[in-house]
Amino acid sequence: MTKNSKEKCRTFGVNFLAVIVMIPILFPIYWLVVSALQSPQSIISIPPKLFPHDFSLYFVKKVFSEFGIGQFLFNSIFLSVMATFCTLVIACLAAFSYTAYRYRMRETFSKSILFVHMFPQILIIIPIYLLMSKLHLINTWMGLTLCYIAFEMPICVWTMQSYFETIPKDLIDAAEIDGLTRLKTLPKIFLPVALPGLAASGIMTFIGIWNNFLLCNTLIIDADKKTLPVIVADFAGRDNMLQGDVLAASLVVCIPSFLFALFAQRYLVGGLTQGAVKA
Amino acid sequence: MKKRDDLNRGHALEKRMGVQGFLLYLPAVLIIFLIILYPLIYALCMSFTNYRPTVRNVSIVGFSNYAKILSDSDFWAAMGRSLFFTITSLTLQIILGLALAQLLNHPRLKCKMLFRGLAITPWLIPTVSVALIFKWMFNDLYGILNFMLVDIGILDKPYAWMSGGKTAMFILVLANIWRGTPLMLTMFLAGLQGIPGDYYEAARVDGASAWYSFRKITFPLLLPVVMVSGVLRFIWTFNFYDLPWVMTQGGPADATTTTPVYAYKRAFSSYRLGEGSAISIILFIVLLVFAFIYFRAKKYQDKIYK
Repeated sequence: MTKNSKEKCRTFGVNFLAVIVMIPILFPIYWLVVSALQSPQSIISIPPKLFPHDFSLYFVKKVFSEFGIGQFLFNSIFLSVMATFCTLVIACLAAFSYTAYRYRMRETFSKSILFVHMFPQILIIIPIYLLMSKLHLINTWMGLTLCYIAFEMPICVWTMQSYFETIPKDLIDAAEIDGLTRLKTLPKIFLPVALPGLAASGIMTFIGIWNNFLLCNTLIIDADKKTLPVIVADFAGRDNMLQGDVLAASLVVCIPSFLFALFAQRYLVGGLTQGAVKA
Repeated sequence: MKKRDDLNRGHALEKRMGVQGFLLYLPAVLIIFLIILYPLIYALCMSFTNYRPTVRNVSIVGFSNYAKILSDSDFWAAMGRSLFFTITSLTLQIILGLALAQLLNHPRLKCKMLFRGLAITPWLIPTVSVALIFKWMFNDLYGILNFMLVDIGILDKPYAWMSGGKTAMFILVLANIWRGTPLMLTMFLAGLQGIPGDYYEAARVDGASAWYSFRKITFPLLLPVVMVSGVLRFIWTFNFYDLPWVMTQGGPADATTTTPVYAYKRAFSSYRLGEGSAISIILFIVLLVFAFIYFRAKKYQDKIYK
């Protein structure tokens, strides 16, 4: 074998292996999509067909018309958008404060944020429940949103901070000599430079809140105020639900994940990496 | 005299700037305090009472909540299950993540971004959906994986995975590995990209094998990254509630009742919030031990990278 063909062979091997490895990673997602989009007869065919051909929107339509999933879809979208926006604003201010200012409590603040970042939600859910009932915030979106912000903010602060820190000090000094106040450097310099970071943390925060199950499941009592993941889990426990209904509902919860995976790849990888390494 | 004035004005400006910075950080700190730190302190107080929403007169019961929980064999059994769940999940996630990172960082690989993008999608899927997909794939009547296993000849006939204690735990761990490996992968990829290519070049010139350069270059340089996020992943996986809850609700017969599921059931099934608070505090103390290790590891990492 010549050296050249050996090289080619190796390249092919690596790429082939990568394709093979993708199969177990993507199969559960494929199977969810395929199962949810089948007709009531073909979903329970034995043995199940790996590549079925009679697709139908029967179950997807059914979860919307019969089980009113549209309402919960709206709840989830509204809450996630609102909470993500608040989280980003608060986190940007904090990260900006840490990068651009010097004051005594600075390190304490930053350390406490890092410390809180480690907290698993289950650990504090009982205390939060107590607090929320004391403040009469139980069963309100207000209370739920506050919790979302508190849990998603720490990683957001860290990500924004690491993007802000890449801005050269000279640029800020130059801007201040030109008469820009310190506060104005945030919208004029910091945010424009850190726009990819903002997009990445925005997406990660949105997904974190969208996927969150525990907080809403504990703090919201009225069924019509619940978010999508909570109601889907609830569907799965009901006796009158068919497998197809449950799967179609699970598919609807995944929609934003699919959208981000398709259209915001770049930011996603950036956001995840920041989160993984900083964490 | 004029110079002195300037100096004073400079000081005043510095001070004002400091206050401004402080105020900008304040909303973040206030929310954290209100939602996380204050409830913890409140729970600490509550854990010494027999508080229940329905009971009028709350009395102080000292350490009896703690004693009750620490002497409950179910609690220790749940801790054991959590430990098993965490260690098996994390070990396999690390091994798979490392292997995958090596592959996806391979110089000969085409369309790197595409593969990386695809590989992280499991992490984006909501836990609730993950739980339901895996339950469906291993369904005793229609589960596709059951039929595949029969086809390959591993099983004689479809098996009811979710009704056996050990097999239910197996599916739980499997689902968690599938879901968590992408995060490990991104972490390792970031770490790998930080290793200068010259090192490998030099090793190759010296005639080192791929395995040797993995052991002597990749592994030691990745270790700090692994340590820091490993501790954090450990804490989170140990306290992972959503997946077991949606998948099995702790069943069958408590076989998948990990510590968080136990804590949740105990606090909310009968609303014994005094006892629930005591569990939170116990878990918090466990967390502090890990936090200590985490900050140690982080210091070590920072030292290496600077």
